[in-house]
Order: sequence, then C-alpha cells, then structure tokens
Amino acid sequence: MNAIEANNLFKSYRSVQALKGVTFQVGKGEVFGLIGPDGAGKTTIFRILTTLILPDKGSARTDGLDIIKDYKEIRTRVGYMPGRFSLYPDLSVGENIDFFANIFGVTLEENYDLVAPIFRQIEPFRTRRAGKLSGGMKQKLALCCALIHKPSVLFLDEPTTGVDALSRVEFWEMLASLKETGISILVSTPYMDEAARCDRIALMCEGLILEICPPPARLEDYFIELMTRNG
Amino acid sequence: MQIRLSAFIRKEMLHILRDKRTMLVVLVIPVMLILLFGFTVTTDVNNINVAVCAPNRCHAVSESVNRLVFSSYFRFKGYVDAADIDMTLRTGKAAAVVVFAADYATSGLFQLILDGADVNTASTSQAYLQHVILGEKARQSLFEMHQLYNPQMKSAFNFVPGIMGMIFLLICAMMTSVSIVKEKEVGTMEVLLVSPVKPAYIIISKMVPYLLLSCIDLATILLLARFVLDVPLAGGVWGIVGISVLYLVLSLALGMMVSNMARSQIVALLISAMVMMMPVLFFSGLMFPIENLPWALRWISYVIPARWYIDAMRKLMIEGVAFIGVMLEFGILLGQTLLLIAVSTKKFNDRLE
Repeated sequence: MNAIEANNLFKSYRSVQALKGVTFQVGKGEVFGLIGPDGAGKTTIFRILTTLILPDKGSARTDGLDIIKDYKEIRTRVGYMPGRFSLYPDLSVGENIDFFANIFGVTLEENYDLVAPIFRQIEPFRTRRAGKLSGGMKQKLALCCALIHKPSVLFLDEPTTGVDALSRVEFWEMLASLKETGISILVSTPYMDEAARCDRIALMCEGLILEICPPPARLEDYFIELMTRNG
Repeated sequence: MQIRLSAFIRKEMLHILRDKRTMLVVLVIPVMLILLFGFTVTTDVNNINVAVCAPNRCHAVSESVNRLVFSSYFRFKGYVDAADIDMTLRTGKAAAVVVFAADYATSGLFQLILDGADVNTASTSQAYLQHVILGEKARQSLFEMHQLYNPQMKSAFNFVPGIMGMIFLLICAMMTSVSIVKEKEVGTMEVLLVSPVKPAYIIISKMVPYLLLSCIDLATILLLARFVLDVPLAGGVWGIVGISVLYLVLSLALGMMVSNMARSQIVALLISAMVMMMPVLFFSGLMFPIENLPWALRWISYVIPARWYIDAMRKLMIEGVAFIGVMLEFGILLGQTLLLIAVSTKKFNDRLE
C-alpha cells in the first residue's frame, strides 16, 4: 500500500485552473518532493490530500484512506505544516505544543522519542511567545507540533521558505532522521538545491506534473529544458 | 487519552488575556455607553427657562410663580410684557412663557406658550408646567393622571434596558465572530481542521471565555444602572441576571453565525456592527415604539431577539414584574438561542472552502 495515491486530480478556483490532472504515488517511508515555481499548484495538492478542500475531479487516497469518504480518519493520521506559519503567535512555545498535543489527545511525553531531536532545539525558548521566534525556530516549532501525534504521513508545504541557509540545512537533516522512523513525507519547495535530498521528485508547472524521477544531478538545467520542451 | 475541552478554553482565555487592548475596549465601552446614554441622551426636563407674563400681579399669581421658582425643573427668568413674548422665545431667553389672565385669582385661567422648535422639550415641559402652576388645584380636575413605574418619566429608565440589549449583542457578536475569523486569516484554522477536533469543541471553547467576559460587563452595567442612574431593578436581580445571561449566549451564537459567513476580520466586524445594529436600533423598541411600525416591519421585529430582551428587561427592571411574568420572552429567547447554536454548529465549515 502506498502512503499517497493521487489519480488525475483537477481543481479550479473561479477562473484559475490550479490542477489539470495530477497523478502520482508516494511509497511508504519515502521522501517525495514537489518541485516547482509559485503558482504551480503545490499547495492545492497539499490541501486536497489533507482533506482541507475537495477536488473537482479525480480521486486520492492518503494512508490508504479515501480523501472524501474517510476524511475524519485521515485527519487523525496525518501531520500537516502549512506554507504559512500557522501557530498561535501570542502563545508561548510550550503552550503551542501543549495545545496541539491536546487536540490530538496525546501528550508531549508519549511521543517524546520522535520529536526529541527537534524539541531539544526549541526547549531553551519554551516560555517565549511563538511570534517572537526567528524564522528557523518557528519552522522547528511548527514541525514539532505537526509530529506530536506520531503521524504516518507528514505533509510539509514549503517548510524552508523564508528560512536562513543554515536552518534550512538543519531542517533537511531532521527530515532525514524522521525518514529513518518510517514516516512517509510529502514536501514541497521552490528551491532546486533541496530537491537532491528527496528520494523522488515531481517537477510541477502550471497545474501539471512534467516528470517524476529521482533527483537529477543538474536539476536546474534539466528543469529549464523540460519547460521549454513542454512550451 | 481524551481531548480535553478545558485545554481549549484555557487557550482561548490566554488569547483574551494577552490582547490587552481588546479587553480594555470590551470592558470600558459598555460603561462609557451606559453613562453617555444615561446622562446625555436624555429627554428629561431640567432647568427649563420660563418667563411669566402677568398683567395683574395678584396674590394668586405670585403664589403660582413661587412654586415655579422653587421647582428644580424650571428656572424663573422674570416677568415680560405681552408684546415681548415672541421676542423672548425667539431670542432663546426662555423656552416657555406662562401668561396669566387678568382675572386669574377668580377664573384660574392661564396660557402656556411654548417654543415648539424642540418638540420633545416642549411637550414634557407643558405637562410639568401645568402640574406646577395648578398646584393643589390639579388634584381637583376632572380626571386624575397617574403614571406608574416611572412617575418622574426618567429617560434612563427607558434607555438602560435598550442600551443593554444593544451593547451585549454588539460586544458578544463582534468578539466571537472576530475570534474565529482571525484563526482563518492567520492560518491556524488550517492546522486545527487537519486534526480530530470536533466543530462543537471549537465553538464551545470560543463561547465560554467570552461569556465570562461579558458577564463582567453585565455586572458593571447593572451596578451602574442601580447606583449611578437609580434604575430600580424592581423585579429582582436574579430574574434580570438569568434572562441577560441567556441573551449573552444568544449574542455569542449570533457571532458564530457571522464567522461562518465572513472571510476576514474586517468583514466580520462590519457585519456584526452594521447588520446587527440597525435592526436593534429600529425594530427593538429601543428608540421607536414597535406599535408605531407598519405591520410588515412589525413582523420583522418579532424575529429580532433584542426586541424580546428589551421588553423583558423593561418589565423586570422598571415595572417590577416577577420572573414568571416574562416567561414568554424567556421562552422565545431560549428557542432562538438553541436554533442559532444548532445552525452554527451544523453550518460550521470543516473544510477551507
């Protein structure tokens, strides 16, 4: 069973066609990257697979469950980190973690092993308001909150956008160690250099997947070549 | 482990406590409004300037004028000639002139000339003047008038229940609608939805802290009404508190409805402030008697919760009716509250679109 199966997904917002038939699979324990410029439809895919919006056409399964029929069950099993910082800026780091642990009916201690490597880095700032954290710290906190209930599939929508270079490297190292625990990860990024850290990538442009492949060596050149070939 | 509602409520409390400015607004605005309406927006007649025209200043006339002078409602501005009456009113030297007949001592005839430019003051001062000048004789007239419950016709008595009906609706609806829409705007709703949380949890946890906050408002307003504006609260405090808390819950539920429609905080504010306030102003009996409305508008007033609340509060506060006397209003408000809560829970959008 695949962690994610998307079959021919279509979605449009009023006049904009965001997805024009997207099909891909993510295997269990795989780190799968959606690579593409802004407006390629990456966020729309995330929202459909996390059951936040419905596709106009096509079907999809997350963790083996239908995104329309079983949406309530899916919501207990996935971890989702939206593109925008989506925690409570007026709550402290500790309060945010406690709150998100509670909405999944768990405690930090229960899944401490999983979040420990990340949590240890933000622990010194436990009493600081989340809004006052640096960009890199915010991302770590958000990841910590997304992992708190030990999800089987992790959705990370542009987790490194607006984060400094060092924090980006650190962040990807964390993902690598998460992969070791068997979590499947769907991650999107506009940065070509980060694609190399995925097992497989899907190159996206204007609502279409141009190609799915292991990350090629000279991705940028390859991507430009693909785009010109597809007009 | 179970999802604890208390943790949700705690989180909402923290939001409120850390947003000092909003909390200040929520706690201070009601006090300001109630004092403003209580003291300034008043149709009470006090210190009305009155001049007297008396061709024959006999003993009977000076007796009547004495009563005027010593009444706190009027300020005696001296005697004027018959020819100057018009000028006196026009220049604003006096708002009313009392003209005594030459044979006042025997006939008891007098005339009141009032500045009708301000209709409200004119009609109220007319009634007062008649009363004061006639003095003992007023009791010998053909019919006796008795205005029950608010014999001094104090405006505060009329306004306080009305203002409460408006303030609670505004504050509660605004607070809750904004607090949910804020989560949509900031993006936290996105994370909240991708979790096993039930909509009822989100709704209840938003309502409880704001209910507590508005209960503080309720207490302040009742204290101000009782001890500063001298509104009697004749029907017993518990009945008043009971129906007010129900009305608070109703207003909070209304805010939930608004938050289902609005996409941004500004829109939520506008809907709660404008769309909610207009019907309260016009159809609740706050400013204009419902009986005067054309039938179509009167029908609209039946669905406006504020109308029933204000009605009940006037009965409880001013008339001194026991709680049993407002059971109809209480029942209607309870029905509306349950309906609103049911609809807003059902309509709660557990997706992003």
